[in-house]
This record gives sequence, structure tokens and C-alpha cells, in this order.
Amino acid sequence: MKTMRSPADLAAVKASQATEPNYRTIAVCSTGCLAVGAGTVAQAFEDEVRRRGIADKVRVARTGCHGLCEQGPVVIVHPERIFYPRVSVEAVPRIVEETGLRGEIARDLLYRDPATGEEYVHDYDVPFYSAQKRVVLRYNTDLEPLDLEGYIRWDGYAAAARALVEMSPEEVIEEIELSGLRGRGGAGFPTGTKWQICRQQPGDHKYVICNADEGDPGAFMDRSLLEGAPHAVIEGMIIAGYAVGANQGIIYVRTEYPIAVRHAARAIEQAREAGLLGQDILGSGFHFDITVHEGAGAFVCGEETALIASLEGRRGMPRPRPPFPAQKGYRGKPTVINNVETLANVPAIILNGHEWYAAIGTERSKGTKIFALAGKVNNTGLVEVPMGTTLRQIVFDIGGGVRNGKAFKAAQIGGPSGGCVPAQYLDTPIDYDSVRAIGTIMGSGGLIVLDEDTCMVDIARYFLEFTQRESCGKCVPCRIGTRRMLEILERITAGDGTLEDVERLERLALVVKKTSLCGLGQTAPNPVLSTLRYFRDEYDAHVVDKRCPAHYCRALITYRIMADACTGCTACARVCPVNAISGEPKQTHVIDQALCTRCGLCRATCKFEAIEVV
Amino acid sequence: MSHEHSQQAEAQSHGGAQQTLLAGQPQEHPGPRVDLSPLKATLEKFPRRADQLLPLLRAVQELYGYLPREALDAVASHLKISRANVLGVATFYHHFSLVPQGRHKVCICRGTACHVRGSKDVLDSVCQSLGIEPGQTTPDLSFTVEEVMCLGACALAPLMVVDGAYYGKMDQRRALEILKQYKQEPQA
Ligand SMILES: Cc1cc2nc3c(=O)[nH]c(=O)nc-3n(C[C@H](O)[C@H](O)[C@H](O)COP(=O)(O)O)c2cc1C
Ligand code: SF4
Repeated sequence: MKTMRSPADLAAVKASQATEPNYRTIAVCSTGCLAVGAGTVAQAFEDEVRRRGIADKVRVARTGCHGLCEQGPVVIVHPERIFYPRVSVEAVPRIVEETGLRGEIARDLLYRDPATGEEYVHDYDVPFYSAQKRVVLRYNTDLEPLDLEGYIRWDGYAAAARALVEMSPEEVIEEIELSGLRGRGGAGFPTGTKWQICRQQPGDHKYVICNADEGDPGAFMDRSLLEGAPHAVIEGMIIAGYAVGANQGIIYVRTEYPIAVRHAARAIEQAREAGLLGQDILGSGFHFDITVHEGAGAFVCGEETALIASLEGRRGMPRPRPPFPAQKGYRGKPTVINNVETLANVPAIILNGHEWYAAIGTERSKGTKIFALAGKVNNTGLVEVPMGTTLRQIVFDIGGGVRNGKAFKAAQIGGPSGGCVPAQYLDTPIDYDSVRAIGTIMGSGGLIVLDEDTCMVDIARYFLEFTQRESCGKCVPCRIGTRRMLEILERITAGDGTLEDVERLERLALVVKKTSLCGLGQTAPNPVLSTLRYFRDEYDAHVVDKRCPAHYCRALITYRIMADACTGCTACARVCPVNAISGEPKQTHVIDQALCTRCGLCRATCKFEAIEVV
Repeated sequence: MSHEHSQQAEAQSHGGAQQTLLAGQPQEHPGPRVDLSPLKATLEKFPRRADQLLPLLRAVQELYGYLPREALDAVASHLKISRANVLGVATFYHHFSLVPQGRHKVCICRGTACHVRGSKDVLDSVCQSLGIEPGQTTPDLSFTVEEVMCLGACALAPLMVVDGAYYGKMDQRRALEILKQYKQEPQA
């Protein structure tokens, strides 16, 4: 692609591409699904197309995450959008021949709803997708992440062109303000307001930072966006830079996301070569460039002031605010820090106008939100829905309900900073304010489904273990408070807790919440407080009855071999690492409870489901 | 970050090689003798600025597989910052290791989705079978077990990754079987 020097050049690139191609595209999810062998499948498609010499009729696209991770490797054949889940290498020649060349449907390879058995041809009819509204994720199912021309065909960089050439920075900020966009990084701060504050600061040196640290365990929205649509994030950053008067952008990305790092870096090079980054972008007179910086594995570095410290080569420790980064940030200069998803929303708003955007969502939470749906749910995956969609719609309509027919117990929203929403609130609309009212936060969008087998005390302990380990140690309430809280929770799950422990835990949680310096400490008690609020009976069962109602906490459970199911195959006895199981072949075996460490290896080994936990 | 400091660091890293950052600290494994000659080329790629510390440490870890004490000294003198500063940063971030890593790296995902689907049991079984705690390396340097907070492949929960190969939907038994395959591999 030759360097573009004006919006007309950009329009020419768009016009040069056929809107109705005379070939079919086989789109293979090649980011998330790589873990289930999508790389081999994509390779097989490419080999098959080459072998048959039909590259003019069938193309293979290695796209971003399609969202339905549960059914990976996922393939969609365009333009008909015929959807094939769990594609194996063996199915490749058939899909190429029948669908790629002839446009026919390979019925036996189609998706069948596990619950109803109903068959679906197109991705947009599959319940998982049909209930979603994909604004930010729209590229992921169709475009290769590094297909810059394809992105331009889809109106990519048209928003940047409009903002830089036709709008003043103030107009851009006003547009974002009126759209009602709020930060997707957790706190929901109005993006337009943040930009406005930064714009008003004096000085020529300002920065835009894209926060792609995504340290929340169980969240993969930002990863999928940066991997799947890096140009949308870059375009958002260019517009942000123009609005606030910054010429330098930084993407701070988690090092555990190598594909995201690679795609971001390569997309930046592409944009530079095409004249979309660098000097005098599209003839607007505006300069902007971006660098990528990898994190080094510290959750607290997602906090904006810690992130800046880390960028400056220091320990990632937060500092008190104000001054806010928008006033005094990276290298002491005004800095806008926005989340990946926030920035990816920006081009769509500029392109379609604030009215369009503000019509999606609820009164005070506009637009869509991406959730990483996981845990004990049937359809693990990436979900984008309008703000205000209820939890029930997300978990049951899109997520296909709870695995193995178990009962829904709660949804954990917002990761270590959030809380657990019990079944009675399934019909709560999910937006910033409603979730706050029921004791959790929107967070970045992790949504973990918990079922009857999940111990809520253990969930609180799990998150405290995380925040305690990730506490940077700068302030006392968080450094010592989280440790004491964790110790109490460990006592309770070990069966040594008392009622006073539970009361002390609650008091301590409130103190840590009130007195910690940064968001990490201020929100670390949330998982404890929300489980205490809705599942106090489980705490009581642990401390009073010395019982774990979910049969999870090791100190409070017993493994037992059921005589009527045991065939005496000896498998369990051979596998037990502490030789706690005895019995003659073909005779019922017995577990010596004094030796048993409750590691569960016997139960995982038994083919006859003869071992129960009580 | 005074000038004095950097000179000191310089003197020590070039002069007395024994007087290093972690001198006197207990170490899990006596670090092998480190060949510092390839380090020079790496150092020279980075401008002598304090904000280069993290990318430089990353490059050094890529070179050696961990951060040898002597290398940290050289980093301090190259960037003209104190050795305490370098060690402070190197120990703050989980990504960096100050001790040699095993030939096989076993990562057990401990993200929330994996946790609720039983990854703790998998982790415990793997650790018990190797006789080490999470984060440690076996004395023969064959295995390092690491807990990672979410690899973002939640559909595969519980997830185990060995040397970059993904093994999804683990339970204790399958994890141990996979581990066995790596144990039996002829050593390179
Ligand atoms: C402990 C902690 C971790 C955070 N992690 C992230 C993160 O991974 N990604 C993110 O975008 N924001 C994170 N934040 C929020 C950021 O501090 C900041 O508010 C956000 O990036 C602003 O972007 P937004 O206005 O677009 O949401 C974190 C905050 C805290 C306190
Ligand atoms: S609240 Fe925790 S993470 Fe935040 S500054 Fe204090 S110790 Fe550090």
C-alpha cells in the first residue's frame, strides 16, 4: 500500500477494494483457538487451497477471536457466514470443496445446540451470537488482524480522517462527552471529561497510554481486542492524541499476551508505512506515533500511577492522586490513560455520531460491554452486549446455562475488585450503577459463573490470596490488612475458624477498604464483603458445624468408596500417592482416613464413579 | 542514583566478581558459573537511561533464562543506577527470576475459571509428584512449576502448559500422565 497523504487517498484505497468479492473466505479463529489446535487447522486449509490451485476462488483468513471459545477451533465461511464449530483437520478438504468452492452446507459439520439439539447454519443465528450486539468486536469474525486494507474497507481510519481533518479537538471531545462513553478499565470514569482535563493542561508534551495490562484473572477481553483488531485500538489512540494534544502514544501490554504484543507492534509499523502514524497524518498537520511496552507480570501495574512508574523503569507502586495522570503523568507530563476497549469504542462513535452511540445501553451507561464469560458455564467465550443486558440473558441465553445441569449459585463479576452476585439478582441489568448497588463493580468485564459445587468462602480466600500476593506493599492497610484477612480465611477454610473470626474479618475488610491508598487495596475486600453479605450461612457452616456445604474445602471433606459401585479394579490403590487405599483385587476397597490427604487423585482415576466426597 | 553509586557498581562488576548483589543470601541452587561475554552485546543495545531498566532486564533474562547476579551488577553499571535499584525492580515483577529455571517449564493456570474447575488439585498433585512447591525448581533442574494468573484460555480450564504446549481440561490423573511423558524424555 502506498503512503496515504490525505482523506482522499484513504477513500481511494477503500474504493479500490471490491465490496462484493468473487471469492469465498474461510475465516479461522487464530488467536484464542490456537490453544485448541487452530494453527494446524488454518495451515491445513491453506495447504488444501494451494494444493488444489484455487486461491482465486477460496481464501483463508486467520482472524481474531470469534468468541465462542468453547467450540474451538471455530470457522466461518464468508460471505454466507456458514458456521462450523470444532473443526478438525479431517474436515478441512470437505469444507474447502463443499462450502468454499460450491457454497453448499456440510450439514453434519454444523453446530448443534447441546441443549435443544437444534441445528444452526449461520453464526448470527446461533443463540450465543444472536443475543449479542457486536460493535467493538465486529472485526474479529471477519478480518485478519493485520489486514490493514480490509480494515479500511470496513471504514477503518475514516473516523481518524474525519476527526483530524474536519473536526477541532474540542469538537472531538464534545462528541465523546455527548456519547456518554465511560472508561471500560473498571471505574467507569467519563472518557470525554478525562480528555477535557488533559486538553486544558498547559504544555506541548502530552501522552496517550493504552492500558492493556489486563491482570484480572479470568478476563481476556482486552487481549482479544488487541489481538483481533489492533488497528481499531490504534485509531482510537490517534483520535485521543489529537483531542488532548498529545503526539506520543504508548501501549502497555501484559507480557503473558505474546500474540497481542506482536499484532500491536506490527499494526503500528503498518500504520506508519501507510502514513496513518507519524508526521502530518493524512495531511492534517497532526503528528502522532506509538510504541509498545511490555509489562512484567504485576497486577498492580494496571493501576494508572503504578503503570506510569513501571514505564519509567521503577517498581510499579501507585502514588496518591491528585495530581491525576491527566494533569501530571508519564515523565511528569499530562497523560491520558485509557483502557483498550474504551479506545476501541472511539472510532465507532466519531463515525456514527454520539446519538447513535447514546441510543445503545441504559440511562447512565452507554454503548456495549464485552464480557469474558467463563467458569461453570456451558459456552465459555467472549460476549459483547448492550449495557443493561441482564445477568440471566448473559449466563443462560448466551452462555447456555450452567455446565452439567448443576444449579446456578452466583456470578463473580469484576474479578479481585468485584463481588459475587447471587441467583436472586439474575434479572439485574448489568451497568455501572446497578452492579454497584448490589455490592460488586463492573470491573473490566470478567464474569465467572459459580455453581452449587463452588465454596463461597474459598472464592473469597482465592481472591484474597491473589490481592495479598499482588499488593505492592506501599501502604499499611493493604500490605498488612490483606495478609491478616487471608490468614482468617485460611483458618476458616481449614476448619479452625470461629464466629469471632468472621466478625473480625468483616471489620477488617471495612477498614482496608476505607484506608488503602490505591484501588487495589480499596477494592480487595469486595469479594469478602459480598460473600459475607449473600452467603453468610456458608461461613457459619464452616466455623460452627465444621462443614463445607459445597464439599470443596479439603479439611472439611471425606473421600469414601461406595461399596455398591466399586469393582475392586485396584486403580485407585495404585494411584494414591500416600498409599491410603487398601483392598484385595475384585473386592471393595477402603480409604484410610488417617492417611488420606484428600488430593482427589483416586476420584479422578476411578472409571466407575465409585468414589464420593462427603 | 548518584554518580558515586554507579562508579561503585562499575568497580564491583568488573573487579571483584564475588561481591555481588545477593552475596550471603540463601539460594535454592548454587548458580552455575555465568559467562558474561555475550552480555555486552545485549547491554549495548540499550541507551544508558534509567527508564530502560525493564526492557533490559527482559533481554538479559531472555539471554540466560534467568537473571544471574553478576548480570544484574553489569546492568546497574550500564544504566548508571544503583544495584539496589536494579534488585528492587527485579524482585518486584513476577516475570523475573533470580534463580536458574528447569529445562521443562510447567505452568498451571490459576485464573478464576481454572480455580473453580479444580486447578488447585491439579497444581498440588503436580507439585507433590515433583517434590517441590509452586514457583520452585527441582534440584536436578529438570522441572520448574509455576502458577500463572490466567492465560486467557478459559474454555480449556483447568489448563496446564508445558514448554508452551497447551493441555486443557486437566484433572490430577491426566496431569500426572502428561508429566510422566516429559520425565521420560531423553535428556538433551
Ligand atoms: C489494581 C488495579 C488494577 C487495574 N488494572 C487495570 C487493567 O488491567 N486495565 C485497565 O484498563 N485498567 C486497570 N485499572 C484501572 C486503571 O487504573 C485506569 O483507571 C484505567 O486504565 C483508565 O481507563 P478507562 O478510563 O478507559 O477505564 C486498574 C486499577 C487498579 C486499582
Ligand atoms: S493499596 Fe495496596 S497496592 Fe495500593 S498502594 Fe497500598 S499497598 Fe500498594
